[in-house]
Order: sequence, then structure tokens, then C-alpha cells
Amino acid sequence: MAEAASAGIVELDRVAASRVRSRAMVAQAYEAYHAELYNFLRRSTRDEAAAEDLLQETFVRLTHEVDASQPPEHMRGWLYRVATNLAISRGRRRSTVLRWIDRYGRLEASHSEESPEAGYLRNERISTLDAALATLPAEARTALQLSAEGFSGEEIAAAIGRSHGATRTLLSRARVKVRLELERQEQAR
Amino acid sequence: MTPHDEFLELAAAAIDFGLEPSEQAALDAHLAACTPCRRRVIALRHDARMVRDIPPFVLAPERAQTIWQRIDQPRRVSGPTLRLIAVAALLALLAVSAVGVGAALLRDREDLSEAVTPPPIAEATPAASPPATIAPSASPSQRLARPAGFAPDTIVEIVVPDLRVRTAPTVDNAISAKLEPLLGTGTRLEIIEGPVLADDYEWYLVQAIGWPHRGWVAAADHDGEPWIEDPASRGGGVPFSGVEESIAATLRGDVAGNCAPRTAGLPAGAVAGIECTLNTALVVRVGAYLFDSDEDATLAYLDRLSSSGVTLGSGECSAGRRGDRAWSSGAGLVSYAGAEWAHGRIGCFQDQYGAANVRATCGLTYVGILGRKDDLGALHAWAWQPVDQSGSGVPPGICQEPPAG
Repeated sequence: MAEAASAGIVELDRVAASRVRSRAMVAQAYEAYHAELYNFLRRSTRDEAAAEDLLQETFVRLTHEVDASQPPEHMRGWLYRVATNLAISRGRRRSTVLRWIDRYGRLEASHSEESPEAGYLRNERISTLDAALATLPAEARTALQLSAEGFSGEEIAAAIGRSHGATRTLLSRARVKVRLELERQEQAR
Repeated sequence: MTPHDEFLELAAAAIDFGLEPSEQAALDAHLAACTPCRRRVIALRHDARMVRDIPPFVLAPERAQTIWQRIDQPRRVSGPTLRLIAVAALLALLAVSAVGVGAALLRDREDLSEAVTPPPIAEATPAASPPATIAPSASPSQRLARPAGFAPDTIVEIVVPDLRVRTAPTVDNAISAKLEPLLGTGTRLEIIEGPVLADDYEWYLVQAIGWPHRGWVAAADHDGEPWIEDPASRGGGVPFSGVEESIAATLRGDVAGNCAPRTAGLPAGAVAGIECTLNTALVVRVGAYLFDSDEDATLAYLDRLSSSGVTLGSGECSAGRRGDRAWSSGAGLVSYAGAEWAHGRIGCFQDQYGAANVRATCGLTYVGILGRKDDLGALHAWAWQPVDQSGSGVPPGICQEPPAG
């Protein structure tokens, strides 16, 4: 009896220690990456509330991985991969909704999310670039943002779940589209 | 799509992917012959740099903390906690009454409906009869294997403003009732038995001297900051061991001068500890605890802060924001980059009782500083600013620079 109870106390200590360590791991990852992930998600989704929700969901998923004793080997890449999938999934769902709204003539809803963001932009050139990025589908915008965060083409392909060739086409066409949109805006002035 | 458009896409692809030699050669040849295309490719690369350089959106510190609390909250009812509950149930089957999972409500003034008021004091002696609700003494199997901090018959003193006495060694209100009133600083307690480990606290069965309270008290908070002390162990009369001297050496001089060894209530994983008393209006106590590794010390630090809702960027006294300066024993004064174990970091918070708390790491040592007043900012500044700002080489913060070599 005494041995069993002692073992129970030891188990409590072990579990408590494990819990502390896993909490500390997630907390440290949050400390290290939440700011840049928030910026990434904000740029990808163009929506403040959505960015916060997806940031939370990203770290909740990390929590589940750590609790399951499967901590990511490469934390930053893992977090961006999860955040990317969440942002693109949301973009696809939103795209479907917007098409439905467009069909029934409530177009103003598709522009309502841009105005709060404009207040954060420093100057007109950035504002113009941001407007050009806004013309891209969520997946292309997310891929460009991953590139801006320093990920290679191969890493971006892995994050968005597309082949090397498809990702290359997606990114290059997105860059060209942004360039042409900027030129169009310059000519319109 | 014109040939010019195709080459523009090729140039765009080259930003993220390597081109085949044949593709690169074709692109170079086209650009050599097409001046407008060269301009566009230059602009394309400039666009890529501009996307990188767009000022980041900044998540407000309070929002970051709110999101963290949402992330962290489910963990308190998820896997590990469920395992704790399962283990607690097992122990209950083994007739152990001391296990429960709950918040530290030891000094909670609220919820008086659950409180048990002892009978009035008949005389100023510990002769009052124990209330009927007192739990049976802990079975030997519950007692800690490691040496007890306080032996039976030791007279200890309460060193916090309010200490809760309970009828069983647990914070689980379903098992353990609260005795009223709370007992204050200086109240003497006679140790009857213990310690018993439950809810991450060390509990002792005590009889309050001059009060009718007979029940269980926790000896220290989760960091090992004591709630009861043996007066005989205080002061500088107790010699330091070598390891305790090494702890004092990690603290700056004005702190390390009046310290005593600490043997009971050390934080989990600590190998030794000291406690220092300062003659200031601001600081109540400084506890410093040595760990086997700086990672363990930092884990204790991070866990203490996160358990109090303090996260990166959560405020003026946060756990350290990107760019914050910290003293590293290896690299001196450095900026915190957010990705590595940081030494000499300082975070602060107010606990649930409004007391000012500052936490720090000095290499292998984890430091807890408890403030007498609610002035958190002043306590943080006390712990953070250098003792001597005249350039004498004293590092900033509570941590003393270890001797060279």
C-alpha cells in the first residue's frame, strides 16, 4: 500500500513536471513567434479579427502536438505551415461566400475590410502595394507573404501543399499580377 | 500571353526558385535585347523587397496576452490535468485524502460560506479542542520521503499577512474546509506532523498558539516563497555551504549581504536555496534557488510568469519583449531576440493578493523578489536598474556578474 501511494506521488511529480515543460515549450514558442505570425496572418487574411483567431488556433494545435509528445522538430516552419493552411482554408471559404454575395448584388461587403488596415500604412507607396496585393486570391497572397518572411520556394510549396511546379507558377503569376496592377495604378494618376 | 509576358513570369519565378540553365540563358538573352523588359524586371525585384519591408502589423500587448490565455486555458482541463485527476482518484482509493486539483485559494478571503469558524478562544493557550471536521492524520505513506522542513514540536511563525488554515491538506474545497479567521504575520504555530505533498504544496498539521485553529497549512507558495518560517533559522548565524555561497555570489552585493540557507519549500527541481532579507521599504524578501541547468532555472521563471498571466509583450513589466536588454553571463548585455534561453531576464506581476512580484534568472539561479507594497513599477526598477550607474562595471539587474574564468 505504501509503495503504491509513493508511486502515485512520484507519478504526480512526473506528470506535473511534464506539464510544466510542455506549457513552457508552448509559452516560449508563443513568445518567440506570435508577433511575426500575427503579422503574417494579418497580411494573408486582411482581417484583424480573423488574424487573431487563426493565431490562437495555430497555437492551440501546437498545444495538442506537444501534449501528444510530438513537438515539432522545426518550430518556426511548423507554425507557419499550420498558419498557412488555416489562412488558405479561410480564404477559400470566404471566396465562396463572396462569389455568392456578388451574384446577389451585395458587393459592398467585399470591400468593407480594407478601410481599417489603411490606417496602419505609412505612406502612399505602401498603400498602393497593399492594394495591389489585395487583388490576389488568398493562396497567392499567402505564398507571397511566406516568401517575404524568408521561406524558400520549396518550403512555400510544402506549406501550401502544392507541387514545385504549381507553386512556381502560382508565385510568379502573383508577382507579375502585382507588378501590372501597380503599373495600372501609376498610369491612372 | 506575349513572349514579353512569358519572360516576365520567368524573371518572377527566379525570385523564389532557381532557374534551369537553359531558362536562365533564354531570360538573359531576352533582357539584353528588351529595354522595357529590363525595367520591368528591376521593378519586379523592387516589388519583392517592398513586400518584405511593409511595416508589420503589431498585435497590442493586451491582445497578445488575451489570446495566450485562451490558448493556455484549455490545457488546464486537457490531457495532463485529466491524468492528474486519474492519479488523484487512485490515491483516493488508497485512502489518501490529500490530492485534488485546484487553484491556490489558501489565502482567499472570499467564499466565506464554506468557511468553518472555530470556537471562541477560551484562554491564550493552544488548549482549544480541535474541531470535529479536522481530517485524520496523514498516513505514513503520504509523507514525503525527503527530509522534512519542520520537525514535529517545532514552533514556526507566519511570515505573510494572511494564512489560511484548512481541515485537510488540500485546496479542494469539497474535501477541505477553511478555518476562519485567516491568521496574520507573526502568529506562532506548533508543528504537529508533516510534511504532506498535495496540490504542489507542502502541508503541515499545526496548532496555532493563542488561537483555536488546529489544521493544515501550506509552508510556501509554488516558488518556495515561505509562508511559515522557523525563527531560529533566520539571520546570518547559519553558515552557508559551498553551494549556498555560490547562489549568493550570483546576486548583486546589496542583496547578498543578509542571506540564510533555505532547506524547506524549495521550488521543484531546485538543488539548493537561500533567502535574503533587505532593510528596504520596498522589498520584503529575495529568494534565490539553484538548479542543475540554466534551462531548468528559466523553466521555473517562465512557468511562474505564465501561471500569473504574464507573457511576452504583456506590459511594462512583461517577461521580456523583443529587443529588451538582458544580462547574459556569456555575452554581457544583449538584446533579447526571442528565440533562445535568456539569462538575467526580469519579469514582474502582481499576484492575486496584489503583492508586487519580480522574477528573474541569473544563469543557473532563479530569483523571486516579493514586494512589500503594491508599487510594482518601483520594485521592477529596483530589480532592474544597476546598483552603480557610474560605469563601474556592475551589471544591470539583480544578477551579479560571475567572476571571470
